[in-house]
Amino acid sequence: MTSAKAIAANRRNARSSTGPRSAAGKRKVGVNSLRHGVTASLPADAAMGAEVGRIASVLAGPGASAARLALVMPIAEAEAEVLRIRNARAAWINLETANLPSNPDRESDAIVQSLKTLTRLDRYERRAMARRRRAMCDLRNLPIEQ
Amino acid sequence: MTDTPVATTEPHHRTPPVVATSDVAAPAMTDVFGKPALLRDEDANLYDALFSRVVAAARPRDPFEWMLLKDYADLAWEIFRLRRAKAGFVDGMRKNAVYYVLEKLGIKPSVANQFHKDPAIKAAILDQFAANGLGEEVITAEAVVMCCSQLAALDAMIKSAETRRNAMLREIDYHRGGLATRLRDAPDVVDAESEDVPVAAAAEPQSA
Repeated sequence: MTSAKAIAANRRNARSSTGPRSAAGKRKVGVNSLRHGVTASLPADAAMGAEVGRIASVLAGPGASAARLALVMPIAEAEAEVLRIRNARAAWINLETANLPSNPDRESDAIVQSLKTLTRLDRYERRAMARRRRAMCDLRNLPIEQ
Repeated sequence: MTDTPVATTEPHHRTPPVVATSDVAAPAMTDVFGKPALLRDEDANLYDALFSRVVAAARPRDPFEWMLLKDYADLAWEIFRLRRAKAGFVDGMRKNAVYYVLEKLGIKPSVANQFHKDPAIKAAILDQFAANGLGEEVITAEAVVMCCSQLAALDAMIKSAETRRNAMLREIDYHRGGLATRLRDAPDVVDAESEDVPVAAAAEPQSA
């Protein structure tokens, strides 16, 4: 069992390590765990949020009710994520290609050099597609809206 | 797929020349998904032609089907890309392979970089190979051995893309019975090589 002395010491220590207090400091540590943003929540990104809304409105169809729109939203989110990952993959390979000397095989070389990154993106894409599949399954299992 | 597609100067964001009748307007649907994620040397016409063939075979009825078919085309394109990368990487490795084969045979390897440039040196090196009971294919064999770990990684990615592409067929089946069957019955779509596509014909309706 923790002694009273240890508890007091822990509390004392905790008071001196409670993170940044200024707004700028809080903003800075808020992205500490961010590496590349590929798995970031889409609604948190304003541009992607608009993209999700656009896809959702098309999937839901013209004049869709708010309820139907809400049902297709998870599908649209997953789809936007899939598209974002594919664009990121192409952009990454294009960047690697641009850094290589010009030769007929440089695109192949760029892909091989990027295998580690491409494998990670592949994993994210599989997850996004699985989310979309589950969301579509949920939508199919609901009663058809008249 | 063995050839690198010829790059075009046209913008990628275009409506594919959809050749099938569909209940959903093609331009509206293709706008939703944005421009295809292509590499700088990939030909947008070939992608559009592939997507058109997928659409023609499946005849999508609603936006969900368009979304699934876009995925199907993207995954097929990804498979082409990775196969092309495999071939290109082995081809590039052949230059180094000549050097190592010569070294193993105890022949001065400094002439290796002339193998693909100077026909006389190439003939002399092939004579040396023949004297050792070897043919030119030993260069490809050496190249494949040199990069087998990268080829295995590319194969794993191809397998992953193929698994997802096939899973897409099942998903399409769930969504609408019979649609995936039509895609499976269209082998030019399932396993097509994109250089088979008539590029000029595919580019005609692009008068935006």
